[in-house]
Amino acid sequence: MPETSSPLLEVEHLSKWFPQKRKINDVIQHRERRWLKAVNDVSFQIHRGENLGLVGESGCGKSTLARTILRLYEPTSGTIRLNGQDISHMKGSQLRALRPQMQMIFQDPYSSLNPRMSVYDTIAEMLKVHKMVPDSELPARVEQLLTMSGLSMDIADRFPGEFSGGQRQRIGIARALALKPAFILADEPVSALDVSIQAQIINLLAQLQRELNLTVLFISHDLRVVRHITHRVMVMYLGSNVEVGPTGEIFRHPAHPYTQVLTKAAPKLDPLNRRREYAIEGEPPSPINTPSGCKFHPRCPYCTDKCRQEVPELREIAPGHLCACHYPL
Amino acid sequence: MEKLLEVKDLHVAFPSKRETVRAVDGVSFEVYQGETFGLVGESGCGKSQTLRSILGLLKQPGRITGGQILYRGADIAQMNDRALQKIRGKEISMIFQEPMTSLNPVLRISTQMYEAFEDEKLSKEAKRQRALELLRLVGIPSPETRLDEYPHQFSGGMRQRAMIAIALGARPKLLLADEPTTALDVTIQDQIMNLLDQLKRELGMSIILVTHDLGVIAQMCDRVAVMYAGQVVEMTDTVTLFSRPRHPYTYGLMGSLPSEDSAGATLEAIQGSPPNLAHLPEGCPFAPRCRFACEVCHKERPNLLEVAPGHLARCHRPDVTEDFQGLIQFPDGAVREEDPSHA
Amino acid sequence: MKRYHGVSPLEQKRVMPTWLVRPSFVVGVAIVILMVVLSLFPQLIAPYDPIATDVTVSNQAPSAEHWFGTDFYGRDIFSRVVWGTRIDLLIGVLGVVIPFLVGGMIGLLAGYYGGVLDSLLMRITDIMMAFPFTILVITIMAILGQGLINLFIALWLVGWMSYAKLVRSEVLVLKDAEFIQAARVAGFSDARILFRHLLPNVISSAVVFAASDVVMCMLTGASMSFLGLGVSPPTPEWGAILNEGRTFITFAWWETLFPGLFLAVSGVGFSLLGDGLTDFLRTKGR
Repeated sequence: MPETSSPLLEVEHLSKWFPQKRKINDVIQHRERRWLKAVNDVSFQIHRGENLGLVGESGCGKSTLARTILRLYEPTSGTIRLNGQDISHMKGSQLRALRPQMQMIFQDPYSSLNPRMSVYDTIAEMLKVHKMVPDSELPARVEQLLTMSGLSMDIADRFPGEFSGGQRQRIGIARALALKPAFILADEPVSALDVSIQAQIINLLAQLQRELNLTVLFISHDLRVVRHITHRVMVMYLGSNVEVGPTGEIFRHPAHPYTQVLTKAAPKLDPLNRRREYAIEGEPPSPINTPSGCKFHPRCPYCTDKCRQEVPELREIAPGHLCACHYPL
Repeated sequence: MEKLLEVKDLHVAFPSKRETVRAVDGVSFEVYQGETFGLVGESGCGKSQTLRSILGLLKQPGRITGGQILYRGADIAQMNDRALQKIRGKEISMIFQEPMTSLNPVLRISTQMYEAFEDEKLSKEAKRQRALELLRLVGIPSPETRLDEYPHQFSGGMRQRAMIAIALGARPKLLLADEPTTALDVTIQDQIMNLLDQLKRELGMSIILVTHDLGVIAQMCDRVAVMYAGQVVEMTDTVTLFSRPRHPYTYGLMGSLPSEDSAGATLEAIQGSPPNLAHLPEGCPFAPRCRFACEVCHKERPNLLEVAPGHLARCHRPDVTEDFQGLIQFPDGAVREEDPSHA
Repeated sequence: MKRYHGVSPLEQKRVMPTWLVRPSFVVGVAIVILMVVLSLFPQLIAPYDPIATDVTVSNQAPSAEHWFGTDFYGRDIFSRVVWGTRIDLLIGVLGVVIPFLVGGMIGLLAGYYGGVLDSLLMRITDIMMAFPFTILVITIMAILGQGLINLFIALWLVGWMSYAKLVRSEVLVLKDAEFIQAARVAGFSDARILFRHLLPNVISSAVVFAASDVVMCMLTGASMSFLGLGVSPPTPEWGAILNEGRTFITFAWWETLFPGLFLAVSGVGFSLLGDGLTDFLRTKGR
């Protein structure tokens, strides 16, 4: 793990709430508008050259958090600082000028490429719009990007429909790298791919991160992949950050009961070591009516009265290891 | 133990104007009473088509072009739709990957459950009791209210449970499960896996489980067939597969998976991508991606050989595969406790 | 979760242009090309002046001199029908192009930006679409009065809504697609996202609809003339020719049969073209 200086990305008390539609009845009865608290008071930092994993189950707010950081959504409150610059409420051309610094790799390699644009146009467009290279050097730069992603210039004239999932994901990676971003947000970049292709893409991402000294926020629900590729991990539950710390430590000694559940639930690759009881009962409640106190308390085996009433703060339990639990394990 | 289902040399083809895709190309396996049999492989390897053809549920224009599917001695591949109706849902049931699309959104759960046992001419009250019992069995809380709800009022995990309850309605002897946990979160996947396993024991049924996830195979299956390009490339009991894989593809898949101590290292990925089923290479379909391929591999298709007792592998190079180390140590002198073929 | 299997690039490579292998599409294209030729060079094909009367040959049956016979005023039906192609095709094409452009644009903006503009537009179209197309056109024509220009205005006022609806619904599906998000992350301007990334992916259904809409406009134009609301006599227009021949239908069948036949064949031509386009636009790129 790179021991570094100032963080590249700082997120402080970030929230993103979505208003729920009020029915006629609600208006008449003066019921308050309800909010879907997709992301609620999340704080963390990513250092230069670091790969931070973000895990959690569907509906925990990890995709919303990602899209808010990238400013596809306007945050409800809190600040996002990139390179020390506050970008939380930037707009228009100012925001567009900032875009090259942070790029994204998408989950679905089938819908993330414009089906009517050739590979060359897809990548060259990025370079042209942001005037990254003079027109005469465009083909050379596109070729360089394709090669970097394990493709060749022969495919440049083809359309996305002609490629397999793995090849498309490589094109998506080449596109994300075109603007020489400092920060890459990878949203489930391998979960739509087959196992053998998955390994190729993981290797490529790890190699590019090292070579280009990229800073990555790696979102995945696959704990095995996260354990392999990230330096630090952050766990989200119902819109909140419940634990963050060095990857090895989190997996070896999870401090939050929910993290422990997640690591237990992932199926072990060992037929001699089968578990015959549930890692946890039930399913996460809706993010519209979140439980009081610690959001995990209704499902937590160690729950006490304090957990039902007081919201636990994220605090350091070991150097660099933070956990939002009254009674860390 | 009793042999419940026997698939012999099954061929499934998807003909089109331009070319014919041989999705399943000579697959044979047996399923015994009370066991969970796994079919594992990547998308397009033919595992789902194999499963679908058992109940005659191939999508157009796919059809069975050869082979037999013997269920308790009767060939269901030759049966017409009416004869199959007697088996579907009653003797053999199926659950799918997407519980959202496999439940009818405009019918109450109760209505969809009653359909499963409508042949038994039960009274309304008896039907309801039976349905409640099933919902309790699959672990749906407050089944009395849930029974009268619609699928959209259920969460993903609950829908999958409801689908399993419907599938179990007529007490089938064999359950076909097509990626039953792929669309679910890990904690829910864990619950459904344990539920299926528990139901299998309690009801004494057999399961054929199709998945791409070796983790699910390791946790649930007694025996496994690994498929590649429409063929079974390796078949054995689960413990042997994970300790001593004997096909380079299985070995490669295991190497592709990140492990506890792979962090920072490069994964041993299998190069290239799966072949086009309409234009298969002349020799072994895996040869172009295989690290151990030699001349004969590119020329001749290998046969399924018995490389060890009860262990089949389709590879020209058993000398090389002998040295493969799997993900776990082979237990010394361990008895394969749940292998019905040896019981 | 969706999973995809590898498809080798070879498999998808097209050997022949797809449209050539569909006979119905080729027939449609041929009919449309024939119509365009007729409307561009009627003087080369028509043997007589379409409006020159000759009472000596009134209501004559088809013969070697007059292939399609003559009408009450002795005008050559063949020449009138050939010259009529120009006006009918013009009505069809012009009646579609403007609504296509304007309606498509409105749909694109309303779908992408949503909000008040969207709700307002959609309510207007909902109200207007509650009335049958022809009734609306007749009403507008009745207010504006007879004439080709007024016919166009009526067609334009009514026609754009279908395009707006079509394009809007496609935009709503695609605006959250990952490649549109990718374009936003790339820092592209709204104009670039709208016209370069969204438009090419949402326009195909509108193009297909336009092909069949041409038929609709031609038929509406002809019916307006038939009702005496469209072009003024003696301009050769199929609907008008039909209307004039209607009086003599019991003994001079050729006066109504031939313009009707042209109308029908061109309708079939554009429909086949539209159907073929559907397949063609769908296979491309996806």
